Amino acid sequence: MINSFFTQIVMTVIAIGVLFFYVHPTFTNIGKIQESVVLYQGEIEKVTDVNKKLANLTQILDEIQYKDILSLNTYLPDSVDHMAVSADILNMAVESDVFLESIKSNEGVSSALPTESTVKHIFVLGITGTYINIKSFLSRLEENNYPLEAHDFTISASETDLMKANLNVVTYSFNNSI
Amino acid sequence: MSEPTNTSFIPKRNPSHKDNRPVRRKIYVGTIIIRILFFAAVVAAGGVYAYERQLNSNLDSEILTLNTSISDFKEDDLLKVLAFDARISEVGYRLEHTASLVSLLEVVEGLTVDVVQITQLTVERTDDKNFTIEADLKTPSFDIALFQRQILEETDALQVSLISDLNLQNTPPEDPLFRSGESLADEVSLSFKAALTVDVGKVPHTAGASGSPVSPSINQTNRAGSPEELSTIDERPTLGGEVLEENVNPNEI
Repeated sequence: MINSFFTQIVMTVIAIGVLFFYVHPTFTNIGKIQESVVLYQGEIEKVTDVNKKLANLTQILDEIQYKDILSLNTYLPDSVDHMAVSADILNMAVESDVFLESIKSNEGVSSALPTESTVKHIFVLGITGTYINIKSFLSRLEENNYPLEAHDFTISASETDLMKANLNVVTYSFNNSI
Repeated sequence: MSEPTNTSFIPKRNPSHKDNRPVRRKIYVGTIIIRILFFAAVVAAGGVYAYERQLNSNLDSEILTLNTSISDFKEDDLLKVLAFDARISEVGYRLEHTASLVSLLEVVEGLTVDVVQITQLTVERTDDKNFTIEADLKTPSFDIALFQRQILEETDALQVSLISDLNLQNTPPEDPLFRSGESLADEVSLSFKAALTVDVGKVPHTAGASGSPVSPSINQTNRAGSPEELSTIDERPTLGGEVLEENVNPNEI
């Protein structure tokens, strides 16, 4: 019976059907699954690496001494207290024996583009003093704990030893847009 | 006449006698191939089914691992690190582009001939990399003006971009001082503007910049007078102060 021609035809059809309609597509699917497994393994490796790096960086960040972070935040704070900065400038002027005629800040005017990570704060000063004292005042500005950059400086000679200088002092705050 | 009935030499088979010889079974190659094909197809189907299941299980396991790794990621920590990094980078940039106005003034002092007066000095920081300086200079003679210009042009610290607004003022004849001096230089006043550019890298800020030695490039200029004289210049105001002609001999250029 099994050797009958009809049986052999049926067996052949079944075999070919299984091969073409199950084994071949399944085999193709297996290839795709293997690719997916490899892809996922690669992604797992990447995510693990990122996690490790982040853990290392977080550890480094945690190990930074508090006073250093404080210095950093003083140098580039999140916001600038214009009154405190003005008071500092006045103290420097007094210490340098320079007469601080005027000081104007641009509080509320300064703005930064979203892409910029710092905000400029400008203080417009008018000072009077001897050349040496004005230089001393500028030196004190430069040796501050936070930047006080003299950007537009004009000094004019006069008949006396006293000179008049106008300058824009610029300091920065950090624009944390992250 | 009757013929003999059993005369053939070919043995006759007895119809009642059954042939007991074994029948040879026929095996066809095609049948074998079909059977092999059939069983191979069945085995292959079972194999790929099992393998697919195993792979699917592995894939599920990998997806689970990936999801676990992703859930382990701490976004807050990342934001904290990024914010710190951005702040550090910005501070680094600011420190890198820090320049000292005091150093710049000392450079200008060092490049100014003693008999030349700077009546007005404007320093503008145009960007993070450059200063532009506009100086109104007053000299008693053309020789000194030429000498001053030569010093400015030859220095490495500053870059002269423009010298303009040349203005000569002579003592009028009705003035009692007219030709009262020994030389023409006593009566002539010459003023001009010099526009200069300075790279902030040449005037970096260092702690205690005030009174610090001027950069070596200034020492290489042909200025009559040594850099050590800068300290004596600091003793009196250079800008607008009364100046004494000393150590300057323009004729030696």
